[in-house]
Amino acid sequence: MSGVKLIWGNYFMSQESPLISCNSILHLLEGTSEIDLDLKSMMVHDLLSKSYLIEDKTARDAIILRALRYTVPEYFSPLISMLKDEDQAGLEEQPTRQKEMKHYDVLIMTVIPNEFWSLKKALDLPEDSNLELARDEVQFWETEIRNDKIKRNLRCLVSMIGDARNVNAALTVSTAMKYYDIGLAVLVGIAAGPEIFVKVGDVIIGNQIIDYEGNRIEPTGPQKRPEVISIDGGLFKQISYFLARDEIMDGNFANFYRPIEEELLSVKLPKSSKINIKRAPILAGEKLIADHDTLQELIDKYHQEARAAEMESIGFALACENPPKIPWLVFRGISDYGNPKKRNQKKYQKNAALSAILALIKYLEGHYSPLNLKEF
Amino acid sequence: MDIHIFKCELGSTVPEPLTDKEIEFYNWLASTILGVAAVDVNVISDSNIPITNKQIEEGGGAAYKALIDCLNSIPKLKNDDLIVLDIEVRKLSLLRAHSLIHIFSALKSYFDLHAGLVPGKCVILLEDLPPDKDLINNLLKDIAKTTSLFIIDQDGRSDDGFAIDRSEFKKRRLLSKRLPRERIRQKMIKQWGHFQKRYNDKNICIRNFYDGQYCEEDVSEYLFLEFQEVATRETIICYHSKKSPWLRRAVLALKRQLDCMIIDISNEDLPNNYNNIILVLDFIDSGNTLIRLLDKFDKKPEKILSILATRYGECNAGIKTFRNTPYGEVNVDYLLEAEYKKIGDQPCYLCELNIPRDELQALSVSGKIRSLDFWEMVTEAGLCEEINPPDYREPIPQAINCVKLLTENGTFIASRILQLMEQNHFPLDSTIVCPSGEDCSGLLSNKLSLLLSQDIITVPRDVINIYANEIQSREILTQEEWYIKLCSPTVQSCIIIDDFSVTGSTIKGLLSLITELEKSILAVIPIIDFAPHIGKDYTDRLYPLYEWSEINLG
Repeated sequence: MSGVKLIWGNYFMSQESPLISCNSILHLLEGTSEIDLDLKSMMVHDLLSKSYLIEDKTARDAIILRALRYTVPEYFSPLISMLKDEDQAGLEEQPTRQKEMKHYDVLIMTVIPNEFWSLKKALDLPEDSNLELARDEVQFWETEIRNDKIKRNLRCLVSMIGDARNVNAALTVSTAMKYYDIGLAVLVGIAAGPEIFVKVGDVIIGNQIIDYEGNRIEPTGPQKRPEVISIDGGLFKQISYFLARDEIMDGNFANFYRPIEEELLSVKLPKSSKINIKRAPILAGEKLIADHDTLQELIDKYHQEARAAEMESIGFALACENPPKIPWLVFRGISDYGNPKKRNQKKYQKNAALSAILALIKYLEGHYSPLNLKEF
Repeated sequence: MDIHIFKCELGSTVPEPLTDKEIEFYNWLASTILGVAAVDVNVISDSNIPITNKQIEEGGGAAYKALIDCLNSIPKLKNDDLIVLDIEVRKLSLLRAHSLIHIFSALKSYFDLHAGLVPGKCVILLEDLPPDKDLINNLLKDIAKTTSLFIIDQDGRSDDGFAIDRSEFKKRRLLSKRLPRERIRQKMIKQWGHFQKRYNDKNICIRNFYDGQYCEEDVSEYLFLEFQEVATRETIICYHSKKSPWLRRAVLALKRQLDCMIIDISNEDLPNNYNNIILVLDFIDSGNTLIRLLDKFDKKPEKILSILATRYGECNAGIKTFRNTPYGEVNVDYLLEAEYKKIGDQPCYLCELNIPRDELQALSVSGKIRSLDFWEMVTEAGLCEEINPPDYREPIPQAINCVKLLTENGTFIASRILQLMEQNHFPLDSTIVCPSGEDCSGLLSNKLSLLLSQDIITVPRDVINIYANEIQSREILTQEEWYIKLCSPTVQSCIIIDDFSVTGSTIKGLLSLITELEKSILAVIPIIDFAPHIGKDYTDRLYPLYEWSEINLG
């Protein structure tokens, strides 16, 4: 872009992204018959000027190429078509985040069917997914959540990993990222938590994910090499403000949760308890913890503030950190204490999942604002 | 009998002369109070007193002084004269009670100082009657010790046993302003957006949505005029406005004016004790909803009225006829014709373009116009030779047909200007200044004045050209209304609004004129500025509604 100077007014594009703006004008140029030549020329002028604000070079070049068709004398237009064909061929080989990638503000993923059932009920999703959205055997649902901060509905894409384990989580989120332009990815579901710090139904929002499986096996024994990955700083702040709300603080979230639990679930959490939402590190590995000591040992070894342990979030977070990097969050409802009582507490899985999902909805409705808001 | 009329407008900056229709209303009111024929009533003086929000914030002393000055200017006040003090409160005004105290204190002081010349009767028109123990009420009681005081609210209520035909009062007062039907037509917004609608059990996308948020009061007044004679205690008004909160608020406002039952037919059950039904709808298209609603009634509604209707089916002169209903043929009266552009099943082209779906609530905060909406409006309007170019250059042969564009979309554009002003927190007392004319400038200023409830001053083109060209020997007709208004000390800060700024000369002229009059300029808002690259000394205050881009490849 050297030699190109952009001039615009006070706060250009604080609302509409240049890509959407350019695609909109192109759509009108290509789809409206009998546009006056002078009008076409004005539109192309506006379009080409705006195209220089598109950050993604591939998408920008594709737009400029399409727009040029309207600026060259008709005699030379086959030349542009030739260029366009070559460009298109290149693009098909390597999918990029451009026009044909549908944008969703939020990707919401659960792991197991019990979690997805709660999600489906809370968001009032239809039984069947939208087949047109299915990619590589992964099914997707579409929904919208009203956001009061940016005063519009967030377009959400919803799916389920299907089974536990970090690799499955990474594969599923990668599929979503390959085919869709995602603004924020959230993993929501259940986890085990230390009984002395949390109770069933509490929600842990991960500020760090700690992969406790990393080890180097030395003659003297395994040397720990944990991988730690943190959420985006902007999201961290948003979560902090969210937690400071009266309706969330001191277990007050229960007032929001209870009526919905009453309506949706036959098993209820103990009536007396408040429901706390906390921000804490989450331990992620490949172990389903159900003995007396492991969970506390992991906390002692890796992070004394950790309040949940599960088997997907490190895979999920690492996939999100891969290009095209997208912000991510993990919301976990505590379903058991990672001890031998785990089996008896299985009945609370839907409750714990619902609690995490409702906390997420509350956050998305009132506190989430996209980190790089470029659109309407 | 002589009457003296004073109209105080709280929240206004510009003194607007009273219209003939307003004078006619005051005349009728005076004749009713004095018990004489209207022809025997002489209007001796009439004044409009603007009281700005800034003045109110500064203590309201200006309101006191302005009214005292006007009262003192009455040439020969006699004991059998009548004073009419009409206090109108602008939508955007602040601290109403505070300013009322100053106004009534002025009236009381004047009467106290002019003992022996106090008019026999004084009528005060207020939005609402003050509560019993209110300080305002005490002041009014003091005034009533020196003159016969009549206090009447906007619905014709009076608290001192004075009997006036309330319906007649309200009707005449409403008719003294521009007719509500016309106001609704002018203020209904055809929103451009990406909306979703349930149609034949599936979601479809639609391009436009009719939004009556700026004409709620007008709809309410229209419904009052329509129903006041037919609605009795046994009448039930049923409304259906699932997608139109503006209709719900407009209908509910009727509750205190009409002595009948009002229910939301979508959510409430019909009571048993009614004789006749009036059905009010926001929008009617194929009639499917109407048929579903008619199923709920045990008798045919006496009247069915829809604010908006499409041309679908049998439709003629404001009446849409449906033949296959549970009551056979049913006629629906409607006010406005609406275009209802379905853009197809999802995903539609807007979904494909990743344009998020809109809700009216969200639209209310999006000030700028997005590319698709702007260019689609322009494509529909087309091009034509430039209208009203500056006299120093030839017209542009192919310019945007802004007259057509503003005729079709003027309300939408004006509403976006309002949103932009709100988003940028411009003070309520700002005065809008724009070019006058029969062309697009006139269309835009007309829409703005209707929608914004804000003062607008339109400056003639030839004056703007003089200032734009920096002609030294200026002869401004200082007696012209626009000039008097602009010079008024209540006008302090201005917002310049222009339609399509090609070279910036209109804006330059207005800036120069306003600066010369020592008023401040808060913002310059053109619909589009085609020359953002030309050096301007107002770039920091420039807020184009559509952001035309310009690259310099040099």
